[in-house]
Amino acid sequence: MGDRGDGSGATRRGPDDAGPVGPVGPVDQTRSTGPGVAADDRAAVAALLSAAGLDPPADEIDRLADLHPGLRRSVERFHAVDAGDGSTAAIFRAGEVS
Amino acid sequence: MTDPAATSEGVAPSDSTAAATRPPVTIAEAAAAIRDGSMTSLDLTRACLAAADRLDETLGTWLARFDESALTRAARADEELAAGHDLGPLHGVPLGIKDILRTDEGPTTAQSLVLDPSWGDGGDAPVVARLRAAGAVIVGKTTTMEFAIGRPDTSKPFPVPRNPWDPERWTGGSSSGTGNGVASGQILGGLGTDTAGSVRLPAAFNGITGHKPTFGLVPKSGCVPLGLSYDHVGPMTRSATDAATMLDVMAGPDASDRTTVPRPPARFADVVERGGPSGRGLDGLRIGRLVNPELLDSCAPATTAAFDAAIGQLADGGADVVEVLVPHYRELSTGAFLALQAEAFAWHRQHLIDRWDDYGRPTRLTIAQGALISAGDLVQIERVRHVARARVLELLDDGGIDLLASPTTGWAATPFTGARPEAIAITALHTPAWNSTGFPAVSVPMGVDDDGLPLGLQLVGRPLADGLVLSAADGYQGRTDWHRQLPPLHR
Repeated sequence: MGDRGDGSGATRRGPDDAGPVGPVGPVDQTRSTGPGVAADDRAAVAALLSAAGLDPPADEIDRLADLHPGLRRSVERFHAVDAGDGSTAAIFRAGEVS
Repeated sequence: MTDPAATSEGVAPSDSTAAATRPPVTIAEAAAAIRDGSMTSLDLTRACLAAADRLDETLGTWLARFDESALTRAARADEELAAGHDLGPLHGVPLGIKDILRTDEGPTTAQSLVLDPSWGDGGDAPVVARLRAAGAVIVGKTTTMEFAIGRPDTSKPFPVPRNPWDPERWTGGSSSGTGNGVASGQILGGLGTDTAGSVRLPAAFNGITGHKPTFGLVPKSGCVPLGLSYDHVGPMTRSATDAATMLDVMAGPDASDRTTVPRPPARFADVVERGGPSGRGLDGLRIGRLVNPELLDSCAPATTAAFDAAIGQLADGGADVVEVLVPHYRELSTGAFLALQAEAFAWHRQHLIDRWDDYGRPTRLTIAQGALISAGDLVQIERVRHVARARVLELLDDGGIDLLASPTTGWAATPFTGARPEAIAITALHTPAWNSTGFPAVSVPMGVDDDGLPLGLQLVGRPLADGLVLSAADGYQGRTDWHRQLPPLHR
């Protein structure tokens, strides 16, 4: 890790562990902040993670299940948009040479 | 180009006499000083390294420093210039490289225990090689957040980057060390990467200039990917002029990155120098001021006031400012986050399976959410991205609008403890929409909040209108001196 490599950041006052879900701030927003997790969300998340080969500890599955309803709401907004018939996600060109 | 007219808001243009008598803080000043004999590259590099010695413990700027090779390169630059071999304005200028880009000198860590040290064995990333060929002095590798997506993490053996305006506050991320390094004078410029705002956010929080180029203008091969179709490599500097100078060296296609596109024929620095494509600076530009409710509602009162003043400066400079509602703004913003999670998951999946605990908790949980997004979801997000991008271009064309303007973020740098919830909400970020469209976007300092912390103004242009974006930013900086204000912790 070069000249530094002393982990000195760990000795200073660091980010706290509270705060709402969102990617902007310095806090660890993946810590659980709310009450219980809906069983349906937890089961769905656990199944998707397992299918992907992931085996996180239970508390982290809980946290992902916490986040899941918000994630789904965000995704569903996209399905509500009429993207027409001609808009593809990616353009593949067989003649591309590089 | 600078406008000599002083204007309102108590902000005076820079004092050229003062600039000539103090150590250079911009690349342009350094280039002039090195050539007029008032300073050598070796002097400047030593001063930057001394500042790094003094400030790094507090600010957490560096993951690796290359003092010996930097001093050797600086001495060689002085010899080359003395012999009349001038490689241009970056020749002999100390720069920093975000540690997700490969460099010849040392390993790339992405600030993670997970990345295989051999990942960086391929030598300089093309964009680093271009800077080196232009004579830049590579000082070292700067801090980031783990894989450019994590959070400041005291559980891992890496520095926590801190803000030179207040070390109890964040620098923003993920180009954190380049941001606080430029702001504190440890380097005169550097490279950041921007997938949802990671150049512009630390630029705003640190009171410097950060430019996200048009997607594909700068090759991103040799960069640890986050969201491959949203990643951009951009310059971080004190001024828009300096950003144009760096971009001139960085831009252009490379066979190693198939997303790269041909650059415009004119040099960006020349476009800035002559006052934009029209040669009239801000005069005659039509600028759309974003009035999307979710954006307005997310701004602190001090941000709104500073943005109003910035708009006033643009108008006083001759711009015609109109209010615009950007179509699909929310989808463009949230789509960047969702898609980058899916793209990041594709890249990280095997490492997550094998080395879950070696990732920081915020990093692994953020990326793992990509496993919760289906293939159909991602296809629809990308389809909407294309539709929304086309709608924004129609807005610009139909309204004759040259540029869009908004605050870069709703709030200034947030404290490590006790941050207001609204200041760290996703809606406080006004950067990711332009990763979705791929349009060029710059953040420049536009004032300070009630605590004296910098705030950013974002200007956005059409694809490949980087020269216009940077010339408008320069026009604004010619009317204000927010970009020249130095933090308490500075060289």
